Amino acid sequence: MSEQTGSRFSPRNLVFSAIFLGISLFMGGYALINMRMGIPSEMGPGFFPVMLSVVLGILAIGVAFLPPDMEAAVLTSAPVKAIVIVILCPMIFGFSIEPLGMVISVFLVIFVSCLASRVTTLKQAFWLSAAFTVFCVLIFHFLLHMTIPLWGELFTG
Amino acid sequence: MDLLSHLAIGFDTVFQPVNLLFCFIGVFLGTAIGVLPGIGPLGTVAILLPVTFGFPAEASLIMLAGIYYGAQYGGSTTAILINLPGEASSAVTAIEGYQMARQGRAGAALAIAAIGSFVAGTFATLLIAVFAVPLTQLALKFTPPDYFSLMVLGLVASIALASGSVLKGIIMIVFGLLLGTIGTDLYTGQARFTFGMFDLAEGLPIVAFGAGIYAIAEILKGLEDESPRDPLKIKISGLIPTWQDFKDSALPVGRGTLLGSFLGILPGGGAMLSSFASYMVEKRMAKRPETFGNGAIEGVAGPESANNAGAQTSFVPMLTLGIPSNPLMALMIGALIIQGITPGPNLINEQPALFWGVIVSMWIGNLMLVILNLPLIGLWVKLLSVRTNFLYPAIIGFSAIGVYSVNNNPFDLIIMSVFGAVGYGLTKLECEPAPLLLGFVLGPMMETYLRRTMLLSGGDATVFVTSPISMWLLITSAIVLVIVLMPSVRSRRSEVFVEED
Repeated sequence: MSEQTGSRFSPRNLVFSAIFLGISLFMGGYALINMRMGIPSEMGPGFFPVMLSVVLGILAIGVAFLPPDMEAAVLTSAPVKAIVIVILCPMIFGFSIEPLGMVISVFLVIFVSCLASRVTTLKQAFWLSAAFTVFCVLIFHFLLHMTIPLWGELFTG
Repeated sequence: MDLLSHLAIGFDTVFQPVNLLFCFIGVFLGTAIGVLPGIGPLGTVAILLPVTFGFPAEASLIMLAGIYYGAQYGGSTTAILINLPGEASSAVTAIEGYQMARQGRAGAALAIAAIGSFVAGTFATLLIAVFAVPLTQLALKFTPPDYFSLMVLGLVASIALASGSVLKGIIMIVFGLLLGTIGTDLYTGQARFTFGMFDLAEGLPIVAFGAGIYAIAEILKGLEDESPRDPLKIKISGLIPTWQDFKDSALPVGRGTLLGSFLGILPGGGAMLSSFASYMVEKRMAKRPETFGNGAIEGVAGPESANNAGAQTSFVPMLTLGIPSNPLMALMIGALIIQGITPGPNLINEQPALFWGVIVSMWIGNLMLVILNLPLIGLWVKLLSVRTNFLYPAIIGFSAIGVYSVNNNPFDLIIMSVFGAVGYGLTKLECEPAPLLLGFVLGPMMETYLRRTMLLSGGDATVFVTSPISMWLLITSAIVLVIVLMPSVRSRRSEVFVEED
């Protein structure tokens, strides 16, 4: 991000500050309302979280006043499609492993994650997924005797 | 002599064929994942953790330890050859090592790195053997405030690892501590921040948390720019360093070993802090400072010795106090607990074969690394030609299987996704994940010791400075913090981290 010379605040630091102040207020407030504080010699469940939230809030405000870093790298980001796909992948595995089992679930995750790349072709994605699935079944099922079922509840009933 | 009989127990354990085999598997796997960027020892140990359930305790710990120090070794190979540190701890090695490679001296750099690591490993093994018993006895004298202050020191030390601003580093720690409070309160049984979700009752699952923060965020960073890498054009010739190389490296290896052994023991220390500190020291003490940045062999020898020594001595707090000094050690504790073994000061008496076996295995493992890896360098280079767009799906796949197999709970995968997003967001805000993860690991323990301390003292917080051990730990923490904040050190930190790009 290119900060303007002379500006006292860095936009990136302000965003940082706001996010963590928000977390501090939310968690601290939640703990204050829902948990007993107790006294120092007999702390309740809320004491430590509230204490941390207060410290976090104060430090977060401090970040807003940090001078902008002139040498900061330009803010780049992965393509939105790639971000969404990669972040969804663990969930795809999570939701498919029990109904479908390891074979299909692993194949699915590898195939979908390949779509995040601009370089990999569909054909390559297919063969990579197939090969990785075979590899995982051999290693985890036959060699390491892991207990994850190969076929899920949908097939085995 | 006690020392010899202890080491004898260790050798007896390690030389059982099954343990030798697992030691070899550990260092081999470790080197491989160290070479590959994007998958580190943390993820690998996480994947293998559930699998070790069926192994004997010694074999399991020996293998997991081998992955850790093997990864340091593999990481430096790629750092030297293609300026791509496979592991964070070898980022410093890339500075001088890659310059040496460009001058056609890759072989010498790799050999010195291997020899330095082996010397450091030997010394650290002896050091642990000598000091383990006194340290355990000291550990038995630790009172709750001492434990608390020890963790404060560890957290403060971890800021030195973060490349960005010190303030943001502290915020990461506090945020990590706060995330650590999620789950059931041990004293009252009340659920905290679970928002009615049963799956959160035992807190955030650490493997899922770590895999999200590290693996997912790292993969997304890799996807930002998919332009093809230059094909490798490396010729490794002359593995044998010259006599001058040996002379130049001797002192740095010695200093790096001492520094690494000491910094590794500190909670929060370990391989990365050690290699970083050693580079600073060598640069300052160099007879020819102008060679630094242009392939000074001292800048390879020192940090490589230091990170290996640090990797080994970072087992000390885990084995003697039961306190993990870094996230990986937290997983090691997990491995012990899976085996039904309680880590802590009594481990050394209750499980002598395990304790000394693990320590001696590190020395044997280092020997294997030297003997096997210099001839195998060609293989590791070939591993690097695997294209990243074929590699990252495999990392996602392995991580997902690993995360799931810990608890067989699909909910953990959701946590992994969520913290993958958080982790990537944090890198955009220029935050480092290491202090966050360490805060998260130490949080529940810190709270327990804080509450116990205050309960025993009747609410009097001055015990933290009236207990001598605690006072010295806090003073040391303050000194570390002041040093990190000093302008000269700050600028030098940024200097190193800029050079690493």
